[in-house]
Amino acid sequence: MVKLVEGINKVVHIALIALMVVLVVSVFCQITLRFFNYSIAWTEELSRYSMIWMTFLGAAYALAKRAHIGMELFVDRTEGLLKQVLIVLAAAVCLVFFVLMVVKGYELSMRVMDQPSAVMQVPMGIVYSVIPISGIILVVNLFYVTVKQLKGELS
Amino acid sequence: MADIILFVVLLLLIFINVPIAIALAMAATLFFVTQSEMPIVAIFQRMFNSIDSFPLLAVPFFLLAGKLMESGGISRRLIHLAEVMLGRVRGGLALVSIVACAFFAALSGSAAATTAAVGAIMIPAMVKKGYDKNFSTAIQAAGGTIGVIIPPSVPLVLFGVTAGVSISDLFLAGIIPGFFVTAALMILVYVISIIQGYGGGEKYNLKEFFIAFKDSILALLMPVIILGGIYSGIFTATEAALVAVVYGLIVGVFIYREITLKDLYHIFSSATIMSATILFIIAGASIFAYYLTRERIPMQITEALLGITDNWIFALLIINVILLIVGTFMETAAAILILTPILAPVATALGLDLVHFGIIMIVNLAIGYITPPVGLNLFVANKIAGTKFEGVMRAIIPFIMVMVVCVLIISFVPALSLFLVK
Amino acid sequence: STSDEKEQYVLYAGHSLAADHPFELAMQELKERVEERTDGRVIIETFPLSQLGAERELIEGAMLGSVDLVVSTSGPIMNFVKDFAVLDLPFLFNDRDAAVNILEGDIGEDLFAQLREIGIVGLSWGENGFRHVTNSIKPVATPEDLEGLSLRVQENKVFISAFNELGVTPSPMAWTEALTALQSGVVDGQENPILVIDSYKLYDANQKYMTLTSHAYSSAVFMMSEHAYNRLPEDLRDIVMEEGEKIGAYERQLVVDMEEQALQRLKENGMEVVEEVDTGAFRDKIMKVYDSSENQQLLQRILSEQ
Ligand code: NA
Ligand code: NA
Repeated sequence: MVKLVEGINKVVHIALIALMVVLVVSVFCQITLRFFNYSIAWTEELSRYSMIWMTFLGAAYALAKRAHIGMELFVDRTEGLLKQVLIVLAAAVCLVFFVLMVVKGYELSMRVMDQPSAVMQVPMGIVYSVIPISGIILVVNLFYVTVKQLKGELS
Repeated sequence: MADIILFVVLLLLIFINVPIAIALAMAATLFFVTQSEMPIVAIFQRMFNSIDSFPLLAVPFFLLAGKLMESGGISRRLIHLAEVMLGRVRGGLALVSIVACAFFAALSGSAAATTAAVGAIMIPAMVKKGYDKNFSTAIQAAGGTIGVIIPPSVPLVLFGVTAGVSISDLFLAGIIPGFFVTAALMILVYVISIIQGYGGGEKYNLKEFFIAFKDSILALLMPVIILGGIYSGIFTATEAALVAVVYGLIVGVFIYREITLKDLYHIFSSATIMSATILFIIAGASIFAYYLTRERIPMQITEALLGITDNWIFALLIINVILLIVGTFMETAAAILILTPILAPVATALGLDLVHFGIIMIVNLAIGYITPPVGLNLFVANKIAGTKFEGVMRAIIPFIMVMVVCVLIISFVPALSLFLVK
Repeated sequence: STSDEKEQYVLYAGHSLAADHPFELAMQELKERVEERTDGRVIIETFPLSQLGAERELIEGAMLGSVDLVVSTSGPIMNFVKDFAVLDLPFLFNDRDAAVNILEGDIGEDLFAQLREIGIVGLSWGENGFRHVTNSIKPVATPEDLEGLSLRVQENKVFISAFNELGVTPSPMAWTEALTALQSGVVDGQENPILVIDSYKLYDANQKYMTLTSHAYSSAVFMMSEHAYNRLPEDLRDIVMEEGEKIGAYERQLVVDMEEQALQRLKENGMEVVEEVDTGAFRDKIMKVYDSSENQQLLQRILSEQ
């Protein structure tokens, strides 16, 4: 099970770096081509949508690495049962949101599937699908991290 | 009443360590579900669209550029230059630290990166020369704040995008306040060094200065290229961030040859994750802001604040106090994204220029980087120095005091910010 | 069903333009009329300047039910109902009257029927005026004068290829980005209706020259979310529909009146305006983009009805 989760995160990590490379390359093309009085329409849209994918997938990955910005100060000073309760409580709040991301994000993607993007004509449903996809990874990573936290393997 | 509960719920969620992005989103979602007819799908639509913005690309790019500079040997060269300039003065290395931070700030958009890049070299160097370890750590933490005041600056980009203010104007407006804070911090470390009898006596001749200058010319050229490119119309402020990335890559990989392929992988990886967490906060904050907008809460707060006083000086003092308190407890990017939609209308109602207000806000929140309990620069500097947190907390106090004075002067002398903006 | 006397309904109204633009003024008027006729049982809260999202997001919001009333230019609607793309073709309408006749006739009805299929009730047709070109380099009187200029254009395939035909380098970029790009000279010019040019004081962003190219009529749609439509009791809904159907004409008149003053203001602020333009010469150069239009039938129908 742990192997599977780590495998998923490895794939996501590679995808993230690839997306950053896409961002750099497409904006680079945009500036260079305009400098030579030539313009391509799709670089702007591609870079925006790549950044959105990078954000949602990156948020999912960051959960496994505990890289999200939060207020650890208070929980860090608690001990024993109280600490365990707070950890579970915070995880429960996150779980509700992630499940909403999966269910409602899926509904959203399906509803706009017929609608093409302005320039590249990609179905917006595909672009939006990053929400339910990262929602699933977030749920998986949430369990992974919370179990570790409860076992005391993480601070 | 319901609105106050909203803020209480948000604080509770933040206190039990729900990641800030999710705490913001969840608090607002709870209220959308119970208080309005808005369908939940629309929450995710808003989340998505809030980061569907080209100017926001400056965030990942400036973070990536900062990482490249940090690893590419650029910071080391800048520090050496500052050293030959100021090494012979009393408290020389302390002054060098601040000046090197200002140099690096002109390349980097982030405070933590500035602290890390300069601190990694300067803290050990200072300790070796007999400076107090806590003092050395505090200098780097405080010097790092210049990173977000002198352009480029990720927080200024976030403010510009949220408030709908020109990012190039904000960048111009940050230059003089950035130098102003630099000068104030230099005076402070000089005075402390004199009292404590630190340093001085290093001898450098003109030849060494020219060598150091020649050595760091490529680094010094970068701000010229970035700002020059923006204001001469070759590229936009967003595209400038990408130019910084490309420049950093070329210099670090091909000219200085200090970045290997493996380093590059780590640089991209950490910049990507850092960008994603910041942009995810934007997405979460957008839902919170969306609820506030629909309920017209910023308007109510404006009216309430102007009800207390219609004296802009007093009102601005209140705003400064609010910003300082929030900055003490909250991470800067999150604070900007939550407070801008609330405070920008207040500032406008007070007759403040939004560009000036952006600078006030950024300098206030920059202080937040060095105020415990949530002070990112303190954490970073501490990690490098390996000091005890309690000791640094005492050493940082004079720096906080000086910066509070700076922020008041910047608040009440608009010309400092607006002089360069036409 | 008729309404319970006590129940109050709040409608959220959004658009992307400024608080002094006819879009907002018309929404305010609609608010007043509806609130008065319903005795305050229907309240309209208006949000200008993309506070509830930019145009594409607003239309999607109307579809999903997060926004109740929207006024949007027709451009972004084409991503939802393809036929709207035809309306954005350059030089499609001979003049304003021709546009209004067609949009308020069967063709407009057909387009509204298609909107209804995606869950949006079309109320009436407004406009954002004709679009014109401004630039910082030189007065433009003929299509040849445009050659070599770089212009910021909307992110819209038809516009991009039309301006390519004219020898222009079109740069699609976000409006916030465009404002500073014009200022610093990353692009030479842009194209927008008079009210937008005036509202954003583009003469302060180096736009010294303006040509009344009238290269596109920017039609707009006042629309209501089907969610809101279904939520309102019949008697109140009838009032909102009736007033909504009238508000387009009101808004168009505002545009006509305000454009006159705005043009005056632009000149007073030093803009050199080329008013006599042989639009036919421009039109001939871009005829190619008509061939690429996906709905030739609708296109021919519009052309033959003028
Ligand atoms: Na900076
Ligand atoms: Na702090």
